[in-house]
Amino acid sequence: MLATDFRTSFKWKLQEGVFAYAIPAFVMVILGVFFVFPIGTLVLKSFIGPAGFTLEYFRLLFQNQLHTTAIVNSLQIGLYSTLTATLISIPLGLIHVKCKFKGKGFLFGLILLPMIMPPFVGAIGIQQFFSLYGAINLFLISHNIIATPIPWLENNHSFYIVILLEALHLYPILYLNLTAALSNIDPSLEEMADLFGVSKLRKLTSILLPLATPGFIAGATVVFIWSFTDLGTPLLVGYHEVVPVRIFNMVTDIQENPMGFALVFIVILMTMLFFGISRLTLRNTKKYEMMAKGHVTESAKSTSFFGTLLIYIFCIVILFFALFPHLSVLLKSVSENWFMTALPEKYTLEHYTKIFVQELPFIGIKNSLFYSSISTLFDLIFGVAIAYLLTRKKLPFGSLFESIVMLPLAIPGIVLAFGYIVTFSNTPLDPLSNPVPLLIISYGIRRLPYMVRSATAGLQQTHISLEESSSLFGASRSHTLRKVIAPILTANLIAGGLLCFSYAMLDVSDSLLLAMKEQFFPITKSIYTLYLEQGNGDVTASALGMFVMLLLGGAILLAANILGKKLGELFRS
Amino acid sequence: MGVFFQNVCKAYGKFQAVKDLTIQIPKGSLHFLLGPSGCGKTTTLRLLAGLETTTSGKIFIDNLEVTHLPAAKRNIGMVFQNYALWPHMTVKKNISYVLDLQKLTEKEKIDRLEEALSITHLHAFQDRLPGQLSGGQQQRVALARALAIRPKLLLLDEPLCNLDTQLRLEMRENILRIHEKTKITTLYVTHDQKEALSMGTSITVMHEGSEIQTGSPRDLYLRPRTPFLANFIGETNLLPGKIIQKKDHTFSLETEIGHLTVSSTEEFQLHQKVNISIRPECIKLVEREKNLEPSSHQFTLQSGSSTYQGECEILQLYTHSRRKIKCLTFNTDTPTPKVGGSIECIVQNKDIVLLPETFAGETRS
Repeated sequence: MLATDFRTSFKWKLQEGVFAYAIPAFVMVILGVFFVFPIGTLVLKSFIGPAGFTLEYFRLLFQNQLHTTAIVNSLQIGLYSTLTATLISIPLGLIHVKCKFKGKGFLFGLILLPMIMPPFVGAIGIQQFFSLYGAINLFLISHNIIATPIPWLENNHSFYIVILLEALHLYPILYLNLTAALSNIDPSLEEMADLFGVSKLRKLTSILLPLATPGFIAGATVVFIWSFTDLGTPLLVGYHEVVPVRIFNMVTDIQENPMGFALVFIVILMTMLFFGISRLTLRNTKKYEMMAKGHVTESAKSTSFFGTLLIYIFCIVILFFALFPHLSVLLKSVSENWFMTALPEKYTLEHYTKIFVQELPFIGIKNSLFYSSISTLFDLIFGVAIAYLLTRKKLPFGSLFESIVMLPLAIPGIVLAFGYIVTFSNTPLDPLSNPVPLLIISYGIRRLPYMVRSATAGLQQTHISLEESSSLFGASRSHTLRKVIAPILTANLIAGGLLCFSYAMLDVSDSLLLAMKEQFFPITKSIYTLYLEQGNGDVTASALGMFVMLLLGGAILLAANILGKKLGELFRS
Repeated sequence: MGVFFQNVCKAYGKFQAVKDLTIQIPKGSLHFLLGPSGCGKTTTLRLLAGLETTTSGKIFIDNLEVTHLPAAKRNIGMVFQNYALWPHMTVKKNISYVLDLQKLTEKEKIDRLEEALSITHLHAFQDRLPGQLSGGQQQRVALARALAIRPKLLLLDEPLCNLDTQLRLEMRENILRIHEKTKITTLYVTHDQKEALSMGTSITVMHEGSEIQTGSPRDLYLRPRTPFLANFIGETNLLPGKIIQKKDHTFSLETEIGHLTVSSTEEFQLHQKVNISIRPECIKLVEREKNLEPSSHQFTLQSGSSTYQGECEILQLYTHSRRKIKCLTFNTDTPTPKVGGSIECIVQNKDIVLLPETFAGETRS
């Protein structure tokens, strides 16, 4: 009797130990080797010269006008993109929370669409429409509106196009965060203001917006960092005086030119700074969290016909601009010999059949599906385990563990990819010979936070007592896991998994930097390579781009449907 | 008149939240709206505040019609159940924010702030954020903010329901003290009848959107007009009966506990089926038949279980048709009667309240 007791309790303790220590330990090792180590190496190398510690690289960096311009440009792109996205998302957020009208659910589902439209694919369309003899100019000339073509992409215009593309791609993140923040504000706070005669505008500026600010800042940080470090869009638009493109170009000669380290360090510093600010503001808001919600009144009011019309016009205009580049990609992908005419003269589906026949596109599809599936599986397994440990167990150093797991959110892909090349060159993991392990790992690590968030959200909704009561009735741990936790979590896991998968498929920076041989190209690098090809490459690139977008569009809409309002919280720092 | 509701109705689609409500509330009173949850009392308060619009009927404040006046123009101070303090403003800011909206000089603003803080004893907390205060303190901030604008009317929507028992008693005192001092006409919504009975100068009991009865606490307890009210305020024993004789306002009844003679100011018909209400504490136990005064009625019940509670004892008694009768005895030395044994009871005729038969669906006579 005693012996069995001892045995079961030993077995139990062993299980507990495996769960509470082995999993965090394993995750820490993976993160240590494939995250902390490469980043650390980068940081160290930017301060170490042939003769030990040096600030020489930074001095050179700031003396070189090419680099300083790139830094200033990138910061401006980040700032203006965020501002533009703000201008779009504040009205959207307010409409979402305050107005009730026909077709609202559908319209606001559409509003999210641009989020999954990869801006670098859109950039292909931009070229088709805005180049000197592109569709727009040809249209204007043929209708005698202008005599000579307007140089849309010359001078500094491409700078603004990058900003527009970024803002129109990223505003849903801001909008989701803002909506979540606004709908968390107790309607009675506004009613109270009404009683005292606070005007609508004053209510907005002194109550609603201040209370929504933390949520806004959380979203704005993401928009800023993402547009600041995005490689694909400026690369394909052809605006190369930005930090990510500089880094991309420096990868090849990094052994001879250590300036790259300094530049990457600047990027790390910037992202850390902004995420730090965002975290601080979020922590401050904890002070605002207080009482229970009051008398439940729906704050959304039915909108008049005229108001509804305005809302529709506003949303459709935004959607038009956001999807315009992708529409042109669609047009291009079904065009035959689109040259020197405003619209294609003939249409064909031939390019779509090509992507499964030609080698380069097909390799891309095949590889990306493989890499992304494996990395999503990695995220699912470890995401759930980590979320479970964080919500249900008292871990030693739990909050430290959590911050480290969440850290990849703050590190741009381009930094990590750069770190991998520097760290793992001339090792068995050298991306030059076989980038597959590093690609999968970088995809996995960078999206792990989404999975952890998603699973944590699910676990927090379900009280621990549900599990406890199950085990009180004598259910084993695995039984409880299968019969109680899994069904409750399913929605969150599907949504989180879809997000991880989609973002892995769309990954630009890791893919472009790490995959150097054609046989290992993921889909994004295939698109980029095809696009640069002479002849019909860009048309095939468009078809391939459309194919990915269709695949991901479905996936994200599904995730948005499953997660609802929670979707926004996944994109917080 | 402080507040006058004239045939006020409020419907949400097909649902009638408030039905043909007519109440008069004298100036300066502390008036309670009392009723079970969902009875329309909060809706009534929100109609008065101007947060909802009436479907029909009129509302007057200080003899001025305000039915279509926007909330901000009504000069009303209100405390919500959840206090609705702006969480990003300090206590001081919460109050001065509303003072800034009034047409006041800087000096007046400072005086008002000072006055609001001191009447609610909040000086020490003025620079804290609401999230850093306890429930009772938050409640006081909400009260201070409502009072700061010197409202014509103070509306309190279940202001104590988020507080624990001890604090609730304390805050009752506080509200009474402030009302005593300011004499602002106050409308207080609650579902807690003890709160209403102990604090109110007058009470309106509501049920399913209608007013059931309005009166002083004593009135409502001693002279309820419907079985619902008799049961809702305090506990009571309801027994069915039939009027067999009628002379002016004195009625003879046939009931399970025998022939009763009861007088009532309300109208009843001969042969009408009625209910009588007898409060548990009005039933006295007696040892044996005494010489009965004509103003009392004696009857026999069977005794059931009993619960001893120190200062009193609750006895479960039964009529011959096994209807339960509750009886409350106060610190008597009469031994607890044996279960199943017969027991003699006396009730004063004046303690028997004659009520109509209707119970649910309450229509006022």
